[in-house]
Formats: sequence, C-alpha cells, structure tokens
Amino acid sequence: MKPVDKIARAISQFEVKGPPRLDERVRRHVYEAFSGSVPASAAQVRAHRWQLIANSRIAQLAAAAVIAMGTLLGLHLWGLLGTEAYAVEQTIDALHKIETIHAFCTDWQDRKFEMWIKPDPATGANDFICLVEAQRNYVVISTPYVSYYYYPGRNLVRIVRGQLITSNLDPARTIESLTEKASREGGSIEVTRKVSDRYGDAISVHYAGAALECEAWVKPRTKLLLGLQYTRRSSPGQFVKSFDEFRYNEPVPDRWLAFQCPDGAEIKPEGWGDLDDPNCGIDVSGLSDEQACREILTRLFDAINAADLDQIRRLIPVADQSDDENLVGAVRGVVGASWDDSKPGVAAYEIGSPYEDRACPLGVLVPCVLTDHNGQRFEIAIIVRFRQTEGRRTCVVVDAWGDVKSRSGASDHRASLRTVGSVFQGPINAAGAASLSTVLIVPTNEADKAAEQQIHDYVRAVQKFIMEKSPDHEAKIVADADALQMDLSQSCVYVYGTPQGNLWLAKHIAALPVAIEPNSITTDRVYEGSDLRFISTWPHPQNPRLGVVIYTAQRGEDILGINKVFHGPTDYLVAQGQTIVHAANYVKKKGQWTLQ
Amino acid sequence: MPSDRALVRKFKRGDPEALLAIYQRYRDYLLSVAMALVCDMDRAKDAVHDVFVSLAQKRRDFRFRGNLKACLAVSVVNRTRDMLRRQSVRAAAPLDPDAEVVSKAPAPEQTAILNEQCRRLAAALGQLPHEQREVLVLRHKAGLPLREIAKVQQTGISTVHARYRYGLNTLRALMNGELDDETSR
Repeated sequence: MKPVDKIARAISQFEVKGPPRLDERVRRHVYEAFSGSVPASAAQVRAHRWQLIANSRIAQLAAAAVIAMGTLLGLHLWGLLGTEAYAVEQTIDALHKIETIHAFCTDWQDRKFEMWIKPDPATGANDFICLVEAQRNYVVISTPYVSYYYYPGRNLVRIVRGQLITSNLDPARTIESLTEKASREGGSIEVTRKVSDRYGDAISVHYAGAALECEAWVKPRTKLLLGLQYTRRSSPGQFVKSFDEFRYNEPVPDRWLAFQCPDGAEIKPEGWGDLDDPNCGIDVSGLSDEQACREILTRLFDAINAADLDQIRRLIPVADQSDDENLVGAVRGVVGASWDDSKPGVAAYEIGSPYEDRACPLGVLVPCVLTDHNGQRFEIAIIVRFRQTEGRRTCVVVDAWGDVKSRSGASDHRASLRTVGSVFQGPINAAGAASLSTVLIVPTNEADKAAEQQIHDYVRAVQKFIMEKSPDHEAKIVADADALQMDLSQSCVYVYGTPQGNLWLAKHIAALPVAIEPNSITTDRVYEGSDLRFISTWPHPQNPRLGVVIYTAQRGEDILGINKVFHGPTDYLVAQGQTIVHAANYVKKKGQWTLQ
Repeated sequence: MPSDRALVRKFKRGDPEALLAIYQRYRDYLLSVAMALVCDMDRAKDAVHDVFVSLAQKRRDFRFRGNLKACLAVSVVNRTRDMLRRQSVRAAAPLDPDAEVVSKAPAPEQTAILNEQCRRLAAALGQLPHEQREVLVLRHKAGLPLREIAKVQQTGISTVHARYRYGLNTLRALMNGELDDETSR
C-alpha cells in the first residue's frame, strides 16, 4: 500500500467516541431550542443558565480569572439569565467585527466631543483614534506609534511619540474590559433587559466596582453597544463620562485618517531627545540626501552590531544621554525589541532611497530591510533628520516610523515602507508615494454611458483633491485610448472604470491573478455579489519601480465614491459599498505577483 | 430504521426526538471529524453540540441535498473554523497566563478515549495548517469530492488540490515511520 493510501486509510479510520454526558447536554439544549428556550423546572433553569454561561466567552474570561485569583466573590455572572449571557457573548463578537466607531461623547466637565475609532480586527485594541473637540478647538489623532495634537487656531501640531492611552477609550473592548476588571478587582456585573429612556428596549450591562461604576447598553437585535455611561471613574485620566451614541462603520474623514501637518504649522516634537542637539549627528556637508542617509544608517547598523553605545549615542539623540537603558530602548525602537548590547542586532541590511511623508514632519523616511541574527527580515522606515549645526549640514537618526511590532506584517497603514530597492513592492499607499506625477485614466467604453460621465466627473473631483492636498504634485486626466498610446513610465497611474469599460484596464487586467465577473470577484476565493468593488495596486507595466492603482467594480456606478473605501495598507481589497470584504497582499517571488 | 430523510422531515415538523436520533446516529462520526480538526476533545464536543442546537433553532430553514452525513460534516467543519478563528482573535487579548495553562491541559477522558494511533494521527493533523486539515478530513472522513470541498472552502479547485497534496505530503513525512510499523504488525 502506498504511503498516501495509508494516510487516507488512517484518516478514514480515525474515530473517537463521545462520553455519555454529551448526550444529556445536547438533549437538553435541543429540547430547549425546540420549545422556545424556556426550560420546565427551576432546577433545570439553574443548570441551563450555568451551561450557557459556562459556554459563553464572558464566562470563560471570568472563569479564567477566577482560576487565577482563586475567588468567585463579587462576580455575579452566575445570576445572569442564559439568553442575556449569550447576548453579551454575541456583543463581544459583534464588536470585533466592526470596522469603525463614530462616537458622540461627553467629558466630566460636560463638554461634548466626537471620536472616530478604528479597532484592530485582531485584538479589538484601538488602531486609530481621532478625537475632535469643537469647544476648545483641538483635534487629537492617535496611531499606535505617534499621536498628533493639532490646534487649528494656533496652527500648531504637537507630535508625540507613542499612542494615546487612556483607560476608557476602547469601546470595542468594553465588555471584555469590564469582565477582566471584575475578576481582577472584585467588581460585579449585572445583565438585565430593560427599557431605557434614551435607548428604549435594550440590554443593560451594569458594572460596579470599588472605584468604577458604569452601565453599557446593548441593542438586542444587533448586539452592538448603544451607549455607555460612567457614574464613577477609577482615575482622573478617564476623561470620557459618557459615550452618548455610537455609529458603526462610518468612514473616518480623510483629513483625519490620513492626517498631514498643515503647511506652515509649528511642529513641536515630544517624547524624543533634543533633535537639534549639536553633540549628536554627523557632518554630511557635500553629500546628497541619499548619500547622507546611507552614511548615517550604515554607521548606525555597524555601531549596533559592535554594541558601540558611545557611537550610537552620537547618532540618535535620546532624552537622557547618560542612561544606557534609555539608549538601548531607542535602538530597540529602530532594530527590534529583542536587541540588547550583548548580541549583534542586524545580520544584514539594505538601505533604500529617502522620501518625504507629510505625516512625518520629523525628517525624511528611509526604507530599510533588516535581517536579524535569527534570519528574520523586517521592513521599516527610519526617520533621518537634517539640520544646520554651527553652519554645517548635519543629520541624526530620530526613530523608526511605524509600529515596531508590526514591521514584519502588513498592518502599518502608512506602509509606504516597501519602496526598498528598485522594484515596486506595494502596497497601495506606496504607489502614490513614489512619483510626483500622477495620471488618472478614465474610461470611454462603459456600457452605461450615464455612469461613464459620472465617473469622469468623479475623477475630476479626485484630481482636484490631489492637487489641493499636494500642490507640488502634478495630476492629469487622460482618456483610456490615449493612455494606451502614451509613455506613462514616469507617472504613478490611477485607473478608474470597469474591466471592460476602461480600455487601458482591459489590456492590463489580464496580468492580475483575479477574475472580475458580473456575479463574483475571484481572488484567493470567490466573493459573490453583483455590487462589488475591487481596488488593487500592481507594478507599472512601463516602469517596474512604480505602481499603478486600479479602482474597478462590476458596475460602473460603483466606481463613484470608491476612494471612500478605506484602502492603502494592503495590495488589494474587495469591498461591498464601503465595507471591506477582504483585504490582503500578493505574494511576490522572483518578480512575480501571485495570490497567497 | 427510519431513513435520514424521514428523520429530517420529522424534526422539521417539530419533533426533537427525530433530531436526537440523527444525533445518535452520527454522533461519533461527527465527533471524529471535529476532533481531527481541532485536536481537542472539549472543543470537538462543543462544535458538535453547537451544530445540533443550531439545527434545532433553525429547523424550518434547514435544507440539504444528497448525503445528510456529509452535510453534517460540513456544518461541523464550518463550526470548527469559526471556533478557531475566534480563538485566534481571543489569543491576542490579555488573559491571565495561568488560565491559559489550565485550559490547555488535556482532560483525563480525552486521554482515555483516544487510542494510540488516533492520538498520533491527531497530533500530526494538528501540525498542518487548518485549511489543509479541512481538506484531508472532508476528503477521507466525509468522503466529499475535491470539487465539493472547494465549494465548502469557497476557493478554487486547484487550491484545494494543492492543499490536499501538501497536507498528504506533510502527514506522510510526520507519520510515515509509524504507519509502516502499524502495517508490518
């Protein structure tokens, strides 16, 4: 018998037998489901509640903490009705599936403000926070690695290292946070269904602990939070008194999501060392920006590998020059959290060409590919700041730009980090960053001529937007048939239209490993629907150093507003309306782009 | 013995005993499918339990074509996939490390129920990516053709072929010696 047949036989013979008590549990719950879920006797009610709660994740979290702490006191989960406990579990699930939260809030001084939050789909933790306070006229935009405090009236931007961390700004994790808090601090949680003056018929999740007390309201049908009110706060840092209203999956305004420091704004960096410290940096007089960046980063990596802290100290200004730990922390910010001065940090490195990003006013960004001593490769952008020191042109290394932890993944939404080397590597964001000339290709062959005209109008609006945002950027609109005859090799190309309606796209889309059909879009799998949108980047057919961005859809009318779909950190995505159905990167091997 | 179709008709008309009869008929089979996929008896039990409770709740909408056994196997596969997906989401959330250790400990009954070969196979299956595991289990445990598996996984037939081939090769590498031992006895 062949080995594969043996495997097949082993799988087909693989058998386990369920223990008898499984039967009883299934029997009971099947009967309850058939009878509309109300069991017959009080004894059964208790057992049923316990079973439902024991199977629910909220109870698993609570039970885990109970095991760890050895106490059940104060946890009143066991008093929940089964259906409500289930609703709480569903709320946790539902909150993990949302893409954005638009919240209307009140602080403890009764000032109103708005927030947009993008939770990380993997953890529920905040990936992006934007807080707009109209009364005092300031905006806070926080990403996992840097926060901007923008004061429009003073045209001032404080750029602060790190993420805005406050303990009650994570509505997507509200229920889990409360449960963890209950188990950690001995608080109690009560879940009841009642009628609220503000929200009507809703499920109330009331938490009471030693310091904190709050009530969350859950919509029974959607299992999403309707609101959240704090009656006591556990620390003065909790500045939100109530989330009065939540709106889900609303797009974050572009001006906040892709925040760029306004022209002429005063920039105040905070959390880094003195970036103008004359004792730091190297003299780069006579060198081009690219040569200077190569010089300082080569010195930095060599110093890291030699664990030469004195040399590193001369290249990176840190807040406390006398503290080696501080310096090591700064190096870890550049080469990875596992680095210490006892082992080489960078086995190999490639340094790309510097580029400017208006989101980063601290210096130019230099894309680098690092290989650590374990053979793991990282893609990062390192900030190099040029300045004038005593009449000489010098530069220092400021920090890594981006979340250190995610550098090996694709979750960095400013990931124009991949423009390393000579070949375009995606993602969508990087396509626009590589050239100051943009060509927008519009369709002339759409079956729906009315939609075609609307696409032309829409692309004109996009062009205007680009020109307004980047005055030094050239953006021109070209008809598809003309584009086929032109040399576009020095331009980043944006293509709009359906695969048949745009002649330029019709010619080049065959290279992509996707199929856009009237009732489905096939990438790594088949996505069914007739109103799907597809946004993708792809190497420029006339210049592999640049990228093109394709905005297409099954129907011409779905091209309109397609830029509102959140895109950029990945190579492609499939969306329905503004909801992203799937987003991922292509696999690039030996210059070939394929699906995962 | 009533046929599967007769039992389905009865349970759709509101007879829970008919659903429990289906459950009784395929319980061990479905448990084996789930166990091969999640390699954890507690989660396998939960998956089978959830499939039947869900059937009871949505009995009026339940439709199946062809083979009930395969249809149930697909439901279990989908359920385990959801469980694993949620588990991976959960894993990123902070949870007391002690609790994690507790949950990972094998239940005594689990150790007793599995025979040696099954445990070895379960361990080897556990090292495969979930998609490959699904393909192998659906192919050899549920008897689904690869074309049907492609529909279940919502992917192309060539992808399923590749997953099948990679999965078999990996399993062969992991278990080859042990399987030879088994057959030479």
